[in-house]
Amino acid sequence: MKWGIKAMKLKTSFINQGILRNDLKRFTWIGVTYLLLLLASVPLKILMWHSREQAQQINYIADYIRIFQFAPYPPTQIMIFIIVPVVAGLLLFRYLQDSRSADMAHALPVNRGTHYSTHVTVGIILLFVPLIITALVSWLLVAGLGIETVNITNILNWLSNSLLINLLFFISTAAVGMVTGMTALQGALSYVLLLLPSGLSYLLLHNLNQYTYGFALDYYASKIDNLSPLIRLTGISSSYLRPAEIAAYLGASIVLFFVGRSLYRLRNSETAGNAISFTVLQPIFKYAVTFCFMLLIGSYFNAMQDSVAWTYFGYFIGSLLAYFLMEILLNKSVQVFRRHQIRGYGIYALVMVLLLGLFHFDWTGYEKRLPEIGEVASVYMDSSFHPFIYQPAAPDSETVYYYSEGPGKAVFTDQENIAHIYALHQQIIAHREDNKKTASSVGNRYVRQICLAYELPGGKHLYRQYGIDPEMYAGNLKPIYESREYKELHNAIFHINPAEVDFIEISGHHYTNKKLRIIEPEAIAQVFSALQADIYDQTYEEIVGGRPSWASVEIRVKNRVFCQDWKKSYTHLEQWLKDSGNYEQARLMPELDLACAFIDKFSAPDEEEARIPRTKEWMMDAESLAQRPGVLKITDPDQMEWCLREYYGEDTEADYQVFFVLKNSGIISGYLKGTDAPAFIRNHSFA
Amino acid sequence: MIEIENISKGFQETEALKEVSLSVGRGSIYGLVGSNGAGKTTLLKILAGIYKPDGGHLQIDSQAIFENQPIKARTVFISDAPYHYPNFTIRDMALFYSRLYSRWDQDRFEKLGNVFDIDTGRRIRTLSKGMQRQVSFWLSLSLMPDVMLLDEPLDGLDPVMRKKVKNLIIQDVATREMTVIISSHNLRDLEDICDYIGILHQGEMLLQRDLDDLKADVHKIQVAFSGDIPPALLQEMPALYQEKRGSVLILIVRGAAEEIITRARSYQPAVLDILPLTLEEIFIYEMGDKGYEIKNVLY
Repeated sequence: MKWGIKAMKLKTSFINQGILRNDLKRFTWIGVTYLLLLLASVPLKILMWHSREQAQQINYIADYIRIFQFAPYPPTQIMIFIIVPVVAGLLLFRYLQDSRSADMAHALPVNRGTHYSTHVTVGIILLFVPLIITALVSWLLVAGLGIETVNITNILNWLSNSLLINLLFFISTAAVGMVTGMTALQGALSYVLLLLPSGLSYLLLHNLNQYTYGFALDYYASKIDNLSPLIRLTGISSSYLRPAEIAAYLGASIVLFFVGRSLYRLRNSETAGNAISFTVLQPIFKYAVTFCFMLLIGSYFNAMQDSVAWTYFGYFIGSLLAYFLMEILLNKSVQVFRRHQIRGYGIYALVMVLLLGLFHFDWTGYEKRLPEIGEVASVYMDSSFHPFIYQPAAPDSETVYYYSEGPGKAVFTDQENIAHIYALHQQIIAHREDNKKTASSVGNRYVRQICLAYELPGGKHLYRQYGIDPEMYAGNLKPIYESREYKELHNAIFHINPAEVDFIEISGHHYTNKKLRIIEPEAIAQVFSALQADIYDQTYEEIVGGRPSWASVEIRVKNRVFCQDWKKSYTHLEQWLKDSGNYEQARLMPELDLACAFIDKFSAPDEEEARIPRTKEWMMDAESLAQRPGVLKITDPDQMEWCLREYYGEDTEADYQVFFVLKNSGIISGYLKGTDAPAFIRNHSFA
Repeated sequence: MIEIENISKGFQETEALKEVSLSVGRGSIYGLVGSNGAGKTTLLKILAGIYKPDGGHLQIDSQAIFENQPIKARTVFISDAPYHYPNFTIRDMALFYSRLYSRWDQDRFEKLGNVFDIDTGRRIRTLSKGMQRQVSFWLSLSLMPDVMLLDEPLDGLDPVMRKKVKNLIIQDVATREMTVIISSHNLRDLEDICDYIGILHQGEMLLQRDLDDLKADVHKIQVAFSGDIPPALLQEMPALYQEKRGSVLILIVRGAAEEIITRARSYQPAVLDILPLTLEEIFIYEMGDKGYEIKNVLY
């Protein structure tokens, strides 16, 4: 027989043609279905976009590119990529999980390694061919319709990323199939494997954070998202895989392929139907699941209740449930409360108690550790790690859209500031018990995050994160906030060359149409120096104080926008505006813009009341305000000017509430402090 | 041809085979008898290269079997629950096997179509259980195997088909010196086809015999004497079993028929008969006490 001779020749080869052809015959439908799904979500989309009105097309020109960036809205492509490769892996290796088909396959004159390699090859063909056809069809379509926004690089990027992700997901599923004897479990474990790098890291970090005071959770958490290919895939629209990721995914696929092949050779055919196909792995699997569940349920209770007792309760329940569920699954019996099984859990619990005890007593000295101050080259301090991790991207001159620049990366190098921050850090550690109480009261709005990153010799870093009540540390924060370095780091204006500025726009309160545009280079330079002088003069109290600004100052440099505030304390800018005759155009003026103002007594709502949304105030009008019993109405411009300068946006320590009625009938509300109040308020008798 | 030495195999909690040894010569048919759970299927699956034994040695043609492709290409295993791919017709399955087995004989396959008489375009899974088993035989015989391992193959076949299948196997054994190991929970099924019988019980090989030897070797005689039974007779002819019915003595004796008759005659019995002995009886008597334990597989 012709085929027989061929089979003989291939007897020691990597793949077996007979198995290959048979697999293709049985599973081509997977490839065809996949191709149809892909054609519907890529080339068909191009046609759909193309058939829209010409006028609309200009607005949606970016949509074509977005198709090849895995079109995140709706995430059809990503969903397909999550599901199809795993399902293909499950179907191709389904025969292993049923004893009849497994026996039949293993009685054939085909070695186990060849079986594995052949099925993997078939899977790769079934997944890759539809992707390549889709890319070709898309390319032909794009070229044929003359869509210039999409070029061959976009399509090739799409194709290469898709191929790699499909490969990794499929091979992961195949390899996982060797460890388990149940198809459903194989599917679940495949996704667990793809999630595990991030999921487990996150669980560990989150749990460490519960015991370790000052643990820089946000810093470490930002590093782990991309560890999981599954999580990475959900964010692939924002950036294609980087070369390092491509190498890692390719490497992981190759390693998993060979791991799977070795496991297949070792796997006993009779384990079809068993949860875990290797006896050695059973206890490992059991305790690993127990551990993960313990962390997961513990984290849940910690997040919901924010109490150590509840967390421990979660640990106990999570581990207990998982342990005995695993026993049931592994033994395929509900009689799992035998002595040795209970003892197994007991040992686990004991080890965990010891481990938790170690963390509780800070056995590594993590909580009290401070670097040698002489070794600190620089220190980053801000209320989040975000600017530290994600350095503002260099502006893309081709970007059509305007966007605002976020705050810069606040890295202090001034020795004096480093010493101040160091002292603050020492204080925080010294008062950690107080801080824990502050930080742990749920939803405490006074809590401020302090994120620190010390740069030490040899490229080492020390990261810490604390939640503190800033008022407790005002003495430590004041010298830092008032330093020139702090101000330069936190204000974009110190980094812009005024000569490059196109224009500056000062916009008053959004209820008014106050707007001033400064175009003359000379004026721009003057505004710059006035603003910079004002910022340098700012005190700590003014920086953290809650007085609304007069106006926002937008500085436009080409397509970039930098925002500064015109704060009430900025006297230099105020003077310049007055001198240049633009003052009234830039801010709310009592005579010009206000009809009157109402002042009423304010008492902070208790917690119960605070929860009810205060819809009434939003529907206020001047008439209903005037009818309030004992309300003080003022029309005197000087009195209104005093109120405008002194009002706060937040009700902290507020004694009065003030409502400014604009001439255009809009109402701005704010709060006043009793300690500041002049005679006209103090002498009024409120109801 | 097939050599098995002290094979053991355990599954999670049970020990399916305990140091089982057996040897089968080329061109012979070995019957593996045992009740459910005796370890027959496990032994056959080890021979088919499906299971890996925990201990012991086994060889076909002096070669290991597990992961040995050339040996497996000459061996065919018909499971007690044969598996066929969903939606596959007989023709599809034949094509699949023809690609994997170098010895596939298409002419034979077509010729055997006359024996089995099932349309090759039919989907195997839509066939009845018995017909599916016939398909397994049909395909397996077309592979021209040197070794055939059959797990309870006759279950579900009607008497006519049983006969046909047995004949086909015997034909191959006779013409091509095919070696067969065939299992059953019933000795009677195998009596007419096997050369050798091995009895497995709870994972252990209780006894193995060459059937021809056995039948020629053990005899049931019925003697009656006018006077007392001469004691010398019982000493000279040690019986596996003896029973007295009135004056008639029934003896099961080992030895050649001729010799037994001459010897018995020397005591001048009034009556001397050689009675036919069924295979079941032979086994029961051979095994003595254990015979009763496994009675169910013998009848």
